[in-house]
Order: sequence, then structure tokens, then C-alpha cells
Amino acid sequence: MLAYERTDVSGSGVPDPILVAKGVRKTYRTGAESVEALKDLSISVQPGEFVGVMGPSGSGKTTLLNCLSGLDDIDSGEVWVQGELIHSMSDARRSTHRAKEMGFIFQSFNLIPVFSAAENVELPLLLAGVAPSEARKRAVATLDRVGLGHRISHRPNELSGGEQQRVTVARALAGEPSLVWADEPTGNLDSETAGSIVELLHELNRDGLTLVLVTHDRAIGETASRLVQMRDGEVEATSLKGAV
Amino acid sequence: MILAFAVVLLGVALVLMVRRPILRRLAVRDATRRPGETVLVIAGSLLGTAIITGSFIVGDTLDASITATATQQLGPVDEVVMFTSAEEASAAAEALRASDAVVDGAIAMSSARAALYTTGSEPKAEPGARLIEMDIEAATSFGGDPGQTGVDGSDPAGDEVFITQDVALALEVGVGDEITASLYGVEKRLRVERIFPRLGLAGFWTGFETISPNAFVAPGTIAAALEGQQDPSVRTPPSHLLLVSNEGDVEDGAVLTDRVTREIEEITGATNIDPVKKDRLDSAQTQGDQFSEFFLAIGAFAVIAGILLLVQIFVMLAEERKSQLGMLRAVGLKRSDLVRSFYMQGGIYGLPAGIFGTLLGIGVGWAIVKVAAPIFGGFGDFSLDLTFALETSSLIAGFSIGVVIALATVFLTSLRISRVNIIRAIRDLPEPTRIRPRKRSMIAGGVVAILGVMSLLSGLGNEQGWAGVIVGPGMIAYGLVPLFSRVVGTHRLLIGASIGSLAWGAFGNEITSGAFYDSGDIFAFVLVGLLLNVAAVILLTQLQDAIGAVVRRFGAKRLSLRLGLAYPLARRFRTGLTLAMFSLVIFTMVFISILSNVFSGQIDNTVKDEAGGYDILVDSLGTDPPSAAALEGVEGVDRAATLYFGTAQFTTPRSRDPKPWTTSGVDETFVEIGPPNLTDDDLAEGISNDEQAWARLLEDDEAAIVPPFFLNEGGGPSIEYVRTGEQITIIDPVTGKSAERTVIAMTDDDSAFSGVYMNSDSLRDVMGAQVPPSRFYVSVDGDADAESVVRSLQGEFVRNGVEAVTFRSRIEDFQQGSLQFFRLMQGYLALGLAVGIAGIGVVMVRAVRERRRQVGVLRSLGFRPLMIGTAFVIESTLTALTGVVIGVALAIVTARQLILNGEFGDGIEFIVPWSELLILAAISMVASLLATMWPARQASQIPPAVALRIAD
Repeated sequence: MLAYERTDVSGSGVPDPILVAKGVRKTYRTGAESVEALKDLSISVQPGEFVGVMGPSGSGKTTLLNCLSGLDDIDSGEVWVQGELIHSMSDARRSTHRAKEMGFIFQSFNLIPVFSAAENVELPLLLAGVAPSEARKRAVATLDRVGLGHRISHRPNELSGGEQQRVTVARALAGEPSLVWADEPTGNLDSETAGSIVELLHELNRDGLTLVLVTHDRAIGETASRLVQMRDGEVEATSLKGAV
Repeated sequence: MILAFAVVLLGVALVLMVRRPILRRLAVRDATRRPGETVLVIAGSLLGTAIITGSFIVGDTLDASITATATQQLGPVDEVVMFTSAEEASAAAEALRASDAVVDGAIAMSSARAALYTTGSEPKAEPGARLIEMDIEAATSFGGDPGQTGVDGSDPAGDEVFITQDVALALEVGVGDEITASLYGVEKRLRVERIFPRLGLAGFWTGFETISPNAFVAPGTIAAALEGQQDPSVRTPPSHLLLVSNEGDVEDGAVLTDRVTREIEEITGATNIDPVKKDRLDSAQTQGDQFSEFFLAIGAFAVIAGILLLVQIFVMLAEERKSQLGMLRAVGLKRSDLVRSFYMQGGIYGLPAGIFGTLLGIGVGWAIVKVAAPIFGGFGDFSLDLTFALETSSLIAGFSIGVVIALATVFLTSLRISRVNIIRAIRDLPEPTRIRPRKRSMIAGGVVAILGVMSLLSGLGNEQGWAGVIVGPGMIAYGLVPLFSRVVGTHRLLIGASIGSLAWGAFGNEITSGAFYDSGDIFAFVLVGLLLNVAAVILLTQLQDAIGAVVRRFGAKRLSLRLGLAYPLARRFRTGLTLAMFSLVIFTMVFISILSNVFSGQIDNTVKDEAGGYDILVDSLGTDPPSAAALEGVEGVDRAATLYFGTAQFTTPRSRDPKPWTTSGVDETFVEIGPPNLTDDDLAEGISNDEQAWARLLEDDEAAIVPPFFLNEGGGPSIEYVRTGEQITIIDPVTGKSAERTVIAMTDDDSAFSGVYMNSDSLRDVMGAQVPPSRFYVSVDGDADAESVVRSLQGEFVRNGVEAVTFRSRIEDFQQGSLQFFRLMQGYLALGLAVGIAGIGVVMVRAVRERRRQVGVLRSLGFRPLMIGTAFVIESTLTALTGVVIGVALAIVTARQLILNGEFGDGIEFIVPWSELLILAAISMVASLLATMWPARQASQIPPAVALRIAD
């Protein structure tokens, strides 16, 4: 069973946020044209939260994920993850920080095709310096946790879409990160499989996993404990579960 | 023919482009959207064309350079007829001039070998000169073009001499200087009156030398010297020649040779007509072709590497565009349309690659000629002035072959890659692993196996069937794979077939008693190299799972290493192509490197083999040779053996046209002191060692011992024109007298060109005074310095035209020439390495593009840029390293087998030049590393968000 600790660094009784973003701006430039993808965006994520980010196509959902996770640079503003200002870190330091603190789940799975399921899952562990035998043990355990204990030696092209996404989830969890980002994790799946993945994510959240899920699917978004609605690069509305 | 083929193939691409605008747009945009890559693809492809064109140009240059010697040393002379007296020659010339034969010149000349020298404080000598008596006035207009005769004016007076530039250079004399001519024991002082160029009649020379040390003297000079000679039977008599010029200019006249020969026979009754011009031009053509073929064969590995690169590129293109291809098929494009589109794209790459490759080929040819010129010019009197020449036909052929290879490769590859399952392609799903082979694979395998059996059976016992013997067993082994894969398993069968093919490539020549290389065709080596490399690469790709397991076990924590290995191990076909590309080139380079080192390290052995118990080779004037006793009187000389030496015409069962070759008559003394070594494997029945063979030669007047390379001309591997036990015919070129001799053995080496050995009586019986006792093998006292003895001999016997050289320095000079030639080949092969490096570069650039998204994922997981870059570098380095290891290992095994089997002679020690191989491997590795640096850096710098967002 996986367990995630809730932090209370300030000792106020309310845990400190895992992620704090203040005044984040991001503009994409193509030739003479520029598109402001994020406009003065501010947001925070508490430990154990399941934040859903929704919005129409082009609203800046994926840009939010990329910028707040440190995958992409920002033009201005600040992003704090676990008390560290990630965009002021060097690229190498940010990579190491990402390996330790974050996990990612993508719409198109993005598994390494030449590695087996177990090898894909153990990658972040090995990156974090875990011994190979221990990494393999934990990878197998995590795959078992997501219901793929019997598919550890299979390569991605030998797995179904749902199974591949479960491997992605396992990979995101294996390093026991503080925060997991999921970008349209059900976008490539049929509704039944999508439902099982969402259920898996909720189960993990209940075990303490902090999750930010980007989706355009209202049915999935509404299952989040907090829903952030985006439009034109800005947070249009924020609502807690049951208030939507 | 090949041009027509190339034009048709390009025309098809052009017509398709005009008639199928959608496909054209697809092909053009795919080819032009990444200009950098397109340039790399064209660069990789054009090298093949450059190598082919360069090879042809080398042939053109050699052809033109030898043809130039025909102008210089024969000029208008097309045929030469030897007579026994000057009167007969003059009468024949007159008769021919009076006839209506298609000739525009017939002139008689008499000549005799003489030594020319100067006296004074710094005497100079030309020991191998020739005195000529000829009607200079008549000679001026000989052949109808006075500009091509090289002579003018009238005959020299009694004390005058007209010399050629070659004599003037050797003696360092000019007009007005005095020189001494010595022949038949008579010395005559002469004043230089004119200096002629080496051209036409002035440069007339039919020997193997490429210089013409001629001296024209007044009529009667030779006869006067001859009157005083003591023993005419051991002096070369003067030559009395009829020189004939056919109608037409210097080169064109040779086409009339057959007709003129008949006319000369009818008019003069002579039968021993030597078609010198035709022979020289034929020889130029043959040697040019041989060199072209030789460089083409050596370059074939690079050309094959270029083909593999092209296949690789198109396979990668197809994989990269798999979903695009699927979509195109889904919207209605036929499979044949995809082939057409790829073919057009091939045309877009192929045409500029052909044009630029041809232009680069001119540069390659020029560079080879520049490097080769000093080598060809380093053989003293036998040097050849290489002058760069190229024929338009060579450029057209190089371009056409390059284009045909490129388009045919693209077409065949397209047939394979266009076979996509639409759904799998659109969804980017892998092709399913086929458990059972297709029926058509089984049929094709069966056909290949049957063809293999037929090739092997027809090749055994047939010298020209070497190709079938080399590839037959491999065809059988691989052909049987689909037939038995259900029972045994494809994986196991492929491993077995590969090991079998490797063993056959390495040991097949020995098993078949030399069936691989007996024909002397250098393409046999190319085919063996190809078989070995292909088998090794297939074997390695089949063992990749095991290799991967080992790496995972020992490199588990090194993520860059795991990642760098994962892709090559997972993509066997592509990895195999890159490996084969690299290993083929390295194989040839290492092979040449080993051979060059082996030969350069054999000087002691070669000297021992060739010199036997002797130290110095002495040549003297046939018209005035010294005696062996006189030579033994020189301080430091221990013993001297006399050889009756000259040039005869020979025919063999595999060389029916008479060809000139040197020959030596030997006696008991020669054998007693220590004759040259004989090849152990080539002793006739009943003879078990060298001693018995030489003893047989002395007692048997029908016996002959022939040298290696007997009757071979030009470069390239030796052709075996005669074998032990077979008969050869020796013909006196003057009298036409001939006799049969049986080959009882072969010598190991013959850089002294002593040629065919017979006992002296046997040789003189045929050749008479044409083989005077003018050559000596000399041994020196134990404590004497052979080089000082050489100087003493040359000083004391100037008037006898003595030229002495130690066997060691002569062999060292020859080895130096060979070594330089090996270096030239290595430089040439470096072009192939360039293909390999370009290949790695292209593959890695494409790999980066193909894996952008995966790089993004890895970066999001926390991989640092350095780790990503390192993984790419490891990937290419390991591929290159594996290619290098395969190439080096196979080359060592092959060279070892050939050397120890005696393919290059007996007793040659096998040496591996490890330091040179290390340098070669290091250069290859560093170059491939440099080719990967840029794409690796690109990969490491892809921002993760961008990589994840952009699939392509």
C-alpha cells in the first residue's frame, strides 16, 4: 500500500502548499505573431489535493501544466514547488528536482518503446539513485499496485492502451513524488478504460497522492476535489467538489 | 548501355513527376523540408559515384600514360621484323616500299647494346645504351609525319654521335662533349653532335624500360667493332630490323596491323613479325582496365556501404512517416503510388548525387594519380610518367552507374517499405511477429538453396566459377532457414547459417584447395569480404538479446548506457545495416593494413628466398660481358655464377599469344652456390624438395622453372598462366625457333626478373647468341660489405656496362614501392570510411528527430540534458565500435588464413600491426563520435515541453 505524507512546515495546522504559482506569464511567439498562453496566473495546490484543470481547447491548460511543473520556462512570475523556486534552478538541478518531486502522466502514454513495463517504471527510481535490484523490486510492486503485476516484462507495443496508461501511472508513482501531473490521461482511451484509470487515480489520491489533472472532459473534471476553470490563459473560476 | 539505363530510370522519375503532381508534391516536400539532412543524404550517396568515377579515371590515366610511351618509344613504327643481316633488312624495306602495301614507311636499322661513358674527374656511365645505325635522312620522313620521328638532318660522321635526351641526362653531356662507346670489347671516342628527344625513331625502344638510351652512329661503326670479337657465340649479335609504319597516324595505324602483317609476310617472306604498336596499345588498354578494376574492387566496399546507407535512410524515412503513409493509403493512395513517391524522392537525391559524385570523382582520380605518380616514377629505367587523363566516357559511365545504383536501391527498398498495414500504420502499431513463415518466403528460400547448390557444384573444378563456390554454401544455409524454421526455429537457424557462412568464408578456400582465389580475380576478395561481414552482422543481431541481458546485468545503474543500448538492440534491421556499413569498410582497411605490414616485414625472408646464397646481382652488356673469373678477381667477391640471360617469347596453355619474358640459363655453379627458393606446393611429381628440382633442371633439357607473376602485366593480383607439370613454348624472337619445355617448379620471388630458368644448354639450344652470359649472381666474402663490392664492380667494369645491385637493396626498393601502393589504397579506402561516418551522422540525426517525444518524456522524468546527449553518443559509439570490432576481427582471420595458406608465397610470417590497427580504430571512433556530437547536442537541448507537444 502506498502512502503519502501531508506536510505542515509552518506548524499552523494547515499544511503548507506543495505548489504555489504567482503571477505566471507565458507568451508563445511565432514569427511576428505572439500568443499569450498564461496571463498573470496564480494558483496553489495543497498536499493531498486532487486539482482538476478544465477549459476549452487553447485555454492554456497544458501550458499551465508545463510551466508549473518546470517542463517549460516562464516569462515572468514565480513557481514554488515544495518550497523551492523551480525556475531559478539550473536545468540540471531542475531535472533532478523533477525526478524527486514530480510524476507525469501523459495523454499518449509516452512510454519508452524499447524498454519493458518494469524498465519504464524503474527509470525514475534509478534516476533518483536507488540500487538496481531495489528499483526493480519497487517497480514490480508499483505495477502490481496498478494491476499489471503479470505484464512486467512486456514492451509497450505488447500492451493495450489502458495497460500502457497504467504503466504510465506506475511510472509516475514509482519515485513516490510529492506531486503528480496528469495531462488528459484518458484522452486516448475508451470510456470504460478511461473510467478505470480515473478510479485508479482517485484511489491513489485517497492514499495521499497530490494530483493535478488537466482534462477537457467535464465528467472527469468534476470528480476532482477542486476544479480550476481556465479561459484564454486565465483562471476563470475555481470551485470545490460539490459546489460545481 | 549503362547511360541509356540511367537515362531511362531518371526519365521514369521525371515522367512520374510531370504526370502525378500530388506524388511529386509529396516527394519534393519530403526531400526539401529538411535541407541539412538532404545534404547529408546526397553527400553519403555521392561518394559511391565518386569512387566509381575515380577508378575509371585511374584507368584512363594509366592507359594514356602507357599509350604516351608508345608515341615516345615507337612513334610511327607499327611493326618490327628481325633479320639476321643488315642486307636482308634493307632488301625487305625496299621491297615493301615498292609494293602497294598499306604502309607509309619501311626502313632498316641495325643496333647493338653498348656502354656509353664519360671520362674525367666525375665519370658518368649509361651501361645499357644502344648504338643505332640508320639512314637518318630517310628516317626523317618515315611515316609521313616528320614531327613524330624525333630525328632530322643527315647521318653522323665517323666520330660523331647523335644521342637521346635520356643518354644526355645520364652522362650529363651536351652538344660538343666527348663520350666513349664500348661494345664487343672495342672502345670508340665519339663527339656529341645532336641531342634527339625521346620520340618516334629517335626514342625507338622495345624493351621493358621506359627510357630510350639510344645513340645514333655512322654506318659501319657496329660492324667495325664486331670484327674484333673473340667468341661470337657468347656475344649478342647486332639486331637487324625492318621498321614498318602503317598508313594513318601514330595510334590509328595499329588498326591495320593484321593486314600489314600479312602483306609483310607475302612481300618479304618473314614470319617473325612483331606488332609492337598494337601490343603496346593493347597492353595500355589492358593495364588501364586492370587498374580500373583493381580500384573499383577495392572501392566496391565503399560503394556497398553507400548502398546500405541509402537503404537505411529510406527505411528510416518510412518508419518516421509510418502514420503519414497509413493516412495516405487510407485516403486512397495505392501501394504503387507510395513506391512512385519514394522513387521520385530517390531521383531528387540521385541526380545531384550523380552529378556532384562525378565531379568529386574527378578530384578523387586526380588525387590518386598525384599520389601514385611518384610510386610509378620510382622504378628507375622502368618508371612510368603518370599524366592525369580522363575520358568523357569514364565520366558518363561513373555518373550512370552511380545513378542506376541509387535509383535501383531506392526502388527495391520502396517495394519493401511501402508494404504497410493501413490501420497499424495510422495507429503506429508494430508489425506482428510472424511465427510461421509465409509460403512465398518458403518458396523463395527453397529457390535460393537450390541456386546455391547449383552455384557450388558448377563452381567446383571451374576456375571461373569462384563466385558460386564462395556464396553457394551461404545461399544454401540461409535459403533453408524459412523451410525449417517451423521445426527448429528461425533464431537458431539464422545463428547456425551465420556461423556456417563465417566458417566457409574463413576456411572455404583451404577446404576447396584454393577455389576462391585461383582465378586471380580481385572481386573474389570483395565477395568473401561481403559474405563474412553479412554473416557476422546477422549473427550479432541474432545474439542481441543475450548481449542486452549482459549489459542490463552489468550496466543496470548507468541509465545513459542502458538507454544508448536499448535502441540499437531493439531495432535489429537498422542496426544491422549500420553495422554492416561500418564493418565492411573497416574490414578492407584493416586487411590492406595487415598485408602492407606483413610484406614490409618480410625483407629478410624475401632476400633469403630470392637471393639464395648470393648477395649481388650483376648485369652487363650482352655485346661485351665480363667473365665470372674476372668478377671473382674483385676484392670482396667470393664467387660469381654466370647466367645466360635474355628475353624470349613464351606461350602457355592459358596464354596462346606469344608474350616476351626474361629467361636465364644456369649451370652447376649457380646451383652449387645457392639458387633461389622454390614454392613448396608447386613442385612437379617425383620432386620433393628444392635440391631435387634444381638437380632435375640441370640434367633435363626439357625442364623449366618459372617465376611467380609469369607473363602477368600491369597491377592487380597475379594470373596463373601455367602450372607445374604443364608445357610452355619458348620462341626466339629473331629466328622464330621454338621449343617445348615442361614446368617442374616455381620460384618464390623474382624481383631480379631472372625469369624462366633452364639449364644453359637447353636455353642456348633455342636462343643461341640471343642469350649471352651477361648476368651474374655474386656472393661476397663473409666480412666484405656488399655495397662497397657493388661500387667496386661498377667502377672496374664500366666498359662492360656492368650494373650491380645488392639483392637486399633491390628488394627493399620494390617493397618500398609496394608499401606506397598499399598506403595509396588505404587513402582510397578512407573514402569508404567517410561513407560510414556520414551514415552514422544521418542515422543519429534521424534518430533524434524520431525520438523527440521520448526525449521529452525522459526529460520530464528527470533525465538531465547531459544524460540524453550521452545516451545518443553511447548509441552511435557502440554501433561504430561493434562495426570496428567485426571488421578488425574478420580481417585478421581472413588475412591470417590467406597468409598461412601460402596464397602470398611460402614462409611469410603473419604479423598483426596492432598499433596501426589501434590508430585506425581510434580515427574511426573519433570521427563517428564527431558525427554524433551535433545530433546528440540537439537532442539534449530539446525543451521537454516542446518535445512533448510536437510529435514531429
